Amino acid sequence: MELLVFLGVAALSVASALMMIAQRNAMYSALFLVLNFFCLAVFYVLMGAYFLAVVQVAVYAGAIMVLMLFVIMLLNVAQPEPSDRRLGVFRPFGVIAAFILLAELVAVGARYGAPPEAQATGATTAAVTATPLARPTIPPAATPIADHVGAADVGHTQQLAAVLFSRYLFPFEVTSVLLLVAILGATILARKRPEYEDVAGVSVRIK
Amino acid sequence: MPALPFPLPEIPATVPTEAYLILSGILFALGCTGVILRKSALTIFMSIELMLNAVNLSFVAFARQLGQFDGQIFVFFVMAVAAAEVAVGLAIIIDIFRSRCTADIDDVSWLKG
Amino acid sequence: MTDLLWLVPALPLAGSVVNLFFGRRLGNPLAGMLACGAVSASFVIAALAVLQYTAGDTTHPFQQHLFPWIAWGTGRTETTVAEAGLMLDPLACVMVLVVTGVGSLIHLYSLGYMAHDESYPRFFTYLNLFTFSMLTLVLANNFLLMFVGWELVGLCSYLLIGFWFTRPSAASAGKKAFVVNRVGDWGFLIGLFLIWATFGTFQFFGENHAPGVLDDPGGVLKGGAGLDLSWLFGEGVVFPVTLAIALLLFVGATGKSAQVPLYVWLPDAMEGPTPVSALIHAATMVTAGVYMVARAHSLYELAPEALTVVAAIGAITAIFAATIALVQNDIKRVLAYSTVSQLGYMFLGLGAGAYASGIFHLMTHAFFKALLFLGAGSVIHGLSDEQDLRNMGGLFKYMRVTAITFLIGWLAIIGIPPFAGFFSKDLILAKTFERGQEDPVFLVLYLLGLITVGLTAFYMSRLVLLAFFGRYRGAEAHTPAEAAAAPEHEPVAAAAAHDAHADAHGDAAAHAGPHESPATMLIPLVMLAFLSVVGGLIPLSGLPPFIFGEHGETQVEQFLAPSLSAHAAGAVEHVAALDPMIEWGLTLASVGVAVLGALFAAALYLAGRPRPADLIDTFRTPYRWLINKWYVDELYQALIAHPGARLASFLSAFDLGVVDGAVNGVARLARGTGGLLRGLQSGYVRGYAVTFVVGAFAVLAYWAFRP
Repeated sequence: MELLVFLGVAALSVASALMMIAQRNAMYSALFLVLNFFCLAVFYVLMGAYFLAVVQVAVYAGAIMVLMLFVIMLLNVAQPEPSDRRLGVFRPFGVIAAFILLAELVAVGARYGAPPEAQATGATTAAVTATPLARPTIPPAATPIADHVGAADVGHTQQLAAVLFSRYLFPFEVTSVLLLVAILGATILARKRPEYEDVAGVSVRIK
Repeated sequence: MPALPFPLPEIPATVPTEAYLILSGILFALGCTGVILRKSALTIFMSIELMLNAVNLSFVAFARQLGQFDGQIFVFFVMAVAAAEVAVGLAIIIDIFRSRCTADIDDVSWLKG
Repeated sequence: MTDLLWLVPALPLAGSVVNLFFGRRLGNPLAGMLACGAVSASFVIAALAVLQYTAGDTTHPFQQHLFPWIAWGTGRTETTVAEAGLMLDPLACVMVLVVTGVGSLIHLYSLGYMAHDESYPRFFTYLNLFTFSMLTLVLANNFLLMFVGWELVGLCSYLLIGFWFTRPSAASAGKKAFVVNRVGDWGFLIGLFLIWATFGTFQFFGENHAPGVLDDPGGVLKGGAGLDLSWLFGEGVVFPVTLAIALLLFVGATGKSAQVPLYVWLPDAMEGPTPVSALIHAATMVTAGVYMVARAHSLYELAPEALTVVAAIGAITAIFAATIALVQNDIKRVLAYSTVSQLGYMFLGLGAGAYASGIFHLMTHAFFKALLFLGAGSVIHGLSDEQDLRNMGGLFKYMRVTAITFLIGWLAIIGIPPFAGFFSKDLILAKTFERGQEDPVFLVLYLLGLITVGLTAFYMSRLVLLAFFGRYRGAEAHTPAEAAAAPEHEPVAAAAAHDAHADAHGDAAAHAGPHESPATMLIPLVMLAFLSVVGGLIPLSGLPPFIFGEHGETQVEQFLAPSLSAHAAGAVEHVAALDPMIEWGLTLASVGVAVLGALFAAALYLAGRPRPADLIDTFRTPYRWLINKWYVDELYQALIAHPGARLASFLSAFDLGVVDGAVNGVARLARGTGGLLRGLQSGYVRGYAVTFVVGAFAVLAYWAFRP
């Protein structure tokens, strides 16, 4: 059952990705990408990463893509872009490159194989942790989704949070600084300059 | 189930990790293709996002495989950084568009050696 | 006073330095007077030092060690390779007095001669520097310091010959002198190397237990330590080191003292101002070679073949140069070739083993040759820079003093008793004849010398007659025959000298016709004339006037004996002196030949029978050879100069093409590589992206397929 879901959603995700890169219209590309993100969210749920699934939808599909759509509409680049004469004859090479890449990835994966199966309890993860809580357990993947509801143990989000705020506290703080810097940067870069003025809804340089 | 003349292949009840990895690889390759082949800066950006998500997918798959949270936490950070990157990148694109009136990535070749 | 010996070279050096920095400010005439004063003071101190020295024991040289110059090793094993030290012995006494004495007179003369020259201070800077160099040369107590002086006089010669360097002929004459000298110096230098390798020291005379080179020139070799060249010549073959040293040093002397084959620079050196010709190219610098051979005589004694070579070259040079002088038309050229010829006489005397005679002739020659040159300068000055004999004549009545002093010099050089030249020349010929008794080669050389006496008398008389007697030919055309046979390479000296000296004089028209020179120029003439008269009679060391002394040794030889006695171990023993009758016969012969030569010249140029033009017509080919100096310059040009120039241009092309090409090639390679690499920086973002992908491929491939 899970497999069927996986296959279907996987097909959808690949299809949407293909459509995304093939579309001439940037708006359509963006929308297909949003669809792809939703598929990924489903995958996360299938794998038991519920928090991430929600975050995926909220942040990626909800914030990032919205931002991109805004910019697409702002810059008015939604027109179909003319075909790329420059590439011309080399276009197939891009496709071939993709296949080569895929092949290599598969080769590496096959060579080194999947990582070893974890113990079912998951109580013996290698890293030293100072978390006061007991090492959270991940429900085995085989358990159907429905069985997760109402689990007696600590919820997934809490478990994630426990690890995040203990072992990965420093990266967390650094990331917040990074976001601050990004905000500042974006604000400064994108602000209106005196030498620009709005022409037909778009800021155009006048000097 | 009706009997079939040939034995059915063994269908695993769970999705094997390799399946996710292959899917991740496909998405990654598609993202690469998009980066190379597309002309508009915004589309390239979106392809990059695709690549990032493909990687996220494989991270989570491994997290599940190993029974650890580390993979998921990594995905968390990747998303945060991706958000920051998108914000700044789009700001740059807007700025370039303002001065050059083009979002064509081939036109930004001023660092030519 | 001998302690102040160091002042003798130091004063002219100081004068030179002061004139170098402040000459322009001192100006005319202060700069000259300073220079003159420096050299005169040197002369006074030198004279006093000589008096003090000769009053004492002259068998040992007086040495003054100034400071060690080159040291080898450190601490206890430190040895002095070379030092700066001065020495006074009879030979050095003669040389230093000649240099400072004649030098002071010429400095005085130059005050008048160069008075109108715009580079007046520079002249005296160089002249003082030259005096310093020459004094270093004669007073040095070791070979290396002597060589320093040797090189410096060469440099000063170059500077002074090319004094009017804006004239191309003067500049190239200076270069020629320097380059030809250099060839000689090469020989000298190799000789110095051999001296060091063989004796381990450069000192002439050692002290205490360290013998000098000349103390025992044979002992070291016989003792064993010496130059081991068995690797080159094979075992058992003895390399004749002393012979090699002697010959190599003589090569140097050939260059410096203008002997065959390196004499070619001296005639061209007449481009320089006349006082320069007088001082450097008559009295002092060219005598450096003679001095050097005399100084190293004990080395030469051990290599008799070298002495024969010296004598032979001397005699050949004497007659060779005399033949060229017969037909020259430029007054200074005649005197230049005469100098070469007389230097040949000196070497003939040295080679015959009579070193004192060579030095004696050096001294007397300094007197009368300087006199002749200064007189010629006076004539040139008086005629507003006319140097061609064919345009002179009858100057006796215009320039009495110049003419009379010049005549005295003439008598001295052709060897008429009792003038100075007679004694010294006669002594040389006698000694050569003496030597010829045991070695027939020297009889031939004697004959050459005798013939040269006649030639000398002829050309000097010709010069005197053409210049001072007869009719003044002023600005007339040349006599037909001599004009028609004009040398193929017109000496630019005559014409060009007009320009320089005319510039120096400012307005040539101001001097109307020939006139006598100012007193500053005449005084040295008179003094030199006096010396030319009594030079042969000078009492030395308080001994009675010159006569043949006991034991067949003349006074001169007795005085110089401590320096020049040929008593080195294993030296050739000379036969006892000749029968006095033969000696008188020889004297009569040389005087007779001289008178004959003079009479013949008188017949040609005074009486006109036969006419010179007819003689030239009769002997047209010999005349052509002589007036073109036997085509020696052309020979050198073809043999050496042209191949050298071709080699130089080849090397230049090599340098430009290969060396520069390699360097430029490297630069081009760098630029090319840079250009290639620049292609990577296309500025195309997509290109960069492709690069990323390709890189990723590579890394993945490595991980996928590594063994």
